[in-house]
Amino acid sequence: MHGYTGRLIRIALPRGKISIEDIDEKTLRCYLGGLGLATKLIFDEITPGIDPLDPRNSLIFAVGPFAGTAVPTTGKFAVAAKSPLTGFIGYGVASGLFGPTLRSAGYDAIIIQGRARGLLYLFIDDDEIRLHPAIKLADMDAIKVEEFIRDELNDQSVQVAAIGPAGEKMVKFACITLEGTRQVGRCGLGAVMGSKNIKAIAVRGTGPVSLADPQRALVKYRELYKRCQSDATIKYRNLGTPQNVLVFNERGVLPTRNFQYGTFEKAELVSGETLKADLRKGTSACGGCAIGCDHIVQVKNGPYAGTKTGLDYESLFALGPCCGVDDISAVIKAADLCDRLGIDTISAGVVIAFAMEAAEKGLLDEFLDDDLRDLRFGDWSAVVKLVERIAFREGTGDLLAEGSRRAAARIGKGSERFAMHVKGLELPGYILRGLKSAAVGFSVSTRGGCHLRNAAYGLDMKELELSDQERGQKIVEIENQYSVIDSLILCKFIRSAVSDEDLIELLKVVNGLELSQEEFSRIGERITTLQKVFNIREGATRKDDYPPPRVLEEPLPNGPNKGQYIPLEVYDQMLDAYYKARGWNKEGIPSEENLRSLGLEGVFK
Amino acid sequence: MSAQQVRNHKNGVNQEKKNPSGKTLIICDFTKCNACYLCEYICSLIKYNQIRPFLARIKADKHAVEFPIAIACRQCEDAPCIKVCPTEALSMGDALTCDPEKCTFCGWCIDACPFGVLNVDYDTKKVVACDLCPENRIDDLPPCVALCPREALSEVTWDSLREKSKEHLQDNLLMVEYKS
Repeated sequence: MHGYTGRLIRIALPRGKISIEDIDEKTLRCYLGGLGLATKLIFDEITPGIDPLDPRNSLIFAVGPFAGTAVPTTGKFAVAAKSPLTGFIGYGVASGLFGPTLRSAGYDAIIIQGRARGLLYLFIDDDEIRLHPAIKLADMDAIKVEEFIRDELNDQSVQVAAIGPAGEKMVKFACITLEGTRQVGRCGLGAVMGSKNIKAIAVRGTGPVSLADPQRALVKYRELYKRCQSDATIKYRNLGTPQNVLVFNERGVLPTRNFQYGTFEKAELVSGETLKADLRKGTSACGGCAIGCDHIVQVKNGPYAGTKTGLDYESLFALGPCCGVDDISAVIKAADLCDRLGIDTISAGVVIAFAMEAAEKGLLDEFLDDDLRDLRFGDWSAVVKLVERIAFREGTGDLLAEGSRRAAARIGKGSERFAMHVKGLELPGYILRGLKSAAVGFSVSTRGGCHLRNAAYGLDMKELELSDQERGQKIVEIENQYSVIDSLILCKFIRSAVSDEDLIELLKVVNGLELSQEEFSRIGERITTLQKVFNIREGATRKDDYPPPRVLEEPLPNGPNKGQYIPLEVYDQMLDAYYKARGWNKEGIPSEENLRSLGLEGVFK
Repeated sequence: MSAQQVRNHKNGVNQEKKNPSGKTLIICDFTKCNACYLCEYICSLIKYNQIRPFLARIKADKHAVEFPIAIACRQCEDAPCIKVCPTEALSMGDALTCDPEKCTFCGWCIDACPFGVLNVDYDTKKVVACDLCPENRIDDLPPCVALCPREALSEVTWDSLREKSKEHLQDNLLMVEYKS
């Protein structure tokens, strides 16, 4: 097969033994690569029941068949491990040149097991793979780490994925940062990397990536690059995802003040329109992307003047309206700090919002630092302070660094009712009480509260009248498609411009991989099911597929969706329909027949 | 520039042109470029039938977000690389070329190039630079230009660039003349 190298790097710590293994072709046919391959590897690598921060957890990096092949939007890689935040499967996809460069260096995946005795960074330099001491990088800002390593290796083309101080301190939602504005954000994968004492992974690749049919590929590329610049992607190239702020506010689904409300009276001040008009410096694209959605903004005035970052909707909602904050400069500063110190902006914002609600209710007194005694929604300087304290596990930050679920468990006093997470992973920027399909989609997601596993909110936005059966069916369909997208790996922003036929053809002309439509569709089902089995092995049950109490019990107090919530009986029926559409029983457990049809018989042994 | 030199330039009295005006080069409009690196991929695909950005003759740079750009050999009229080549392996025809028989890949040309667009291909044993793809054109353009998703790349002649800079200079000349 072309494109693929068929090789992975295994790093066994603490001895630092480095070996190259072959990836068998059957695995690639069944899981494609990227998230699929990472899922398969983490499933096989670890035994259930271990502590995610134990050396026996593995950290997997994997690229897909399209990495480094000039298919547009494929500069991506996936990461997987058992999540310290949820205790279930944790994974993420990040963009940039890291993935393609790993491919040029000659590898499709990396497995890191064990724990190093001192802080190290891994340098993959084509055929040479070395572990370098990283004492000088201890507690270093993740973006500065990239600069430092490039200077130390005297090569600006080296790609670096690094953790910040938060990963080193194993903040439960620590992330991995690369190329300044890109992250493997969710599930605390940065903490797993920190638990292994790996500060960064640097890669330089000068080798070739071959295509099965270069001539046909070139013709296909030309067509796809044009589609990337067509109306199908205009939202991303124009305002980018921050466009959602006013759209969601209008619909009453913009999470405000810890998801209590669906509208924010100051939404205009933190909208995509304001960002573009006042603060935008330029637009960047990930390596290999023909769209270009990374809008860079810079603060002009005030205490945070000069701060520059790429700001997407999720970071914006979490550190802005969710915390009741209307100061866009503070949101930019907080987002940039999250990237540098290495924490997930979504979890950070939602955890801080949780703390604000707890403080306002008088439940947080014994945990609040002296200078935070007046903590309340809207206090933007507190948001910036707390981001820093969380990253360094100082004061109140040490409690919040555990994530909203654990923080609520420690605080008690009913605070669990407003810890806005599913499976321990904080919810992204959608008020689920106004979006029934999303409520199911976000809650059944195998990694926890997540909007990227299926476009279920799309079903709600289109205001389709769906029966529970239809909804269940559609969510399953899109979940399967998205699992494939995350394995190829392609960007979801191109999804509406690329069909399954296009992707099957690309696999043929780029990789020489011939898959029928049926096999292609099965792959997505297989990946999602294996993730579910991983979770079941770790003790997941039906009760982990529910949205938080606020969604099931609290009617929205105002706005276009005033009075709405999702009663338990209604949710139960929707969940039943989803499980049925999947071929799982009422507890959400796949049947032997279902597993056999996917080649997964015997996984429960 | 002295006022006299400025006046000469304005009147079209110029330094002697070293090469005929038909020569072209690839330039990039940084107001359109997003530094997506696809030009590097396409270049290597065309030249090597594989994706190998390391050997691409056009280089993208995303280090400055306000100035994303891709640069290929400027086909300089007074090329520093040709000047420093100790074996006269480099010469300028319709584009910069390297004679593999003479090249010792000493790397001096790579250091001399102010734009960093030269590289050494150890497999073919020669220095590589953008040759404007005389054989692989798409719509009579170099493939990187034809495929750039944002149409940021274009192939222009040195004369058209000179015209453009004259226009820019015209706009600023009034200020200069007044001062003298």
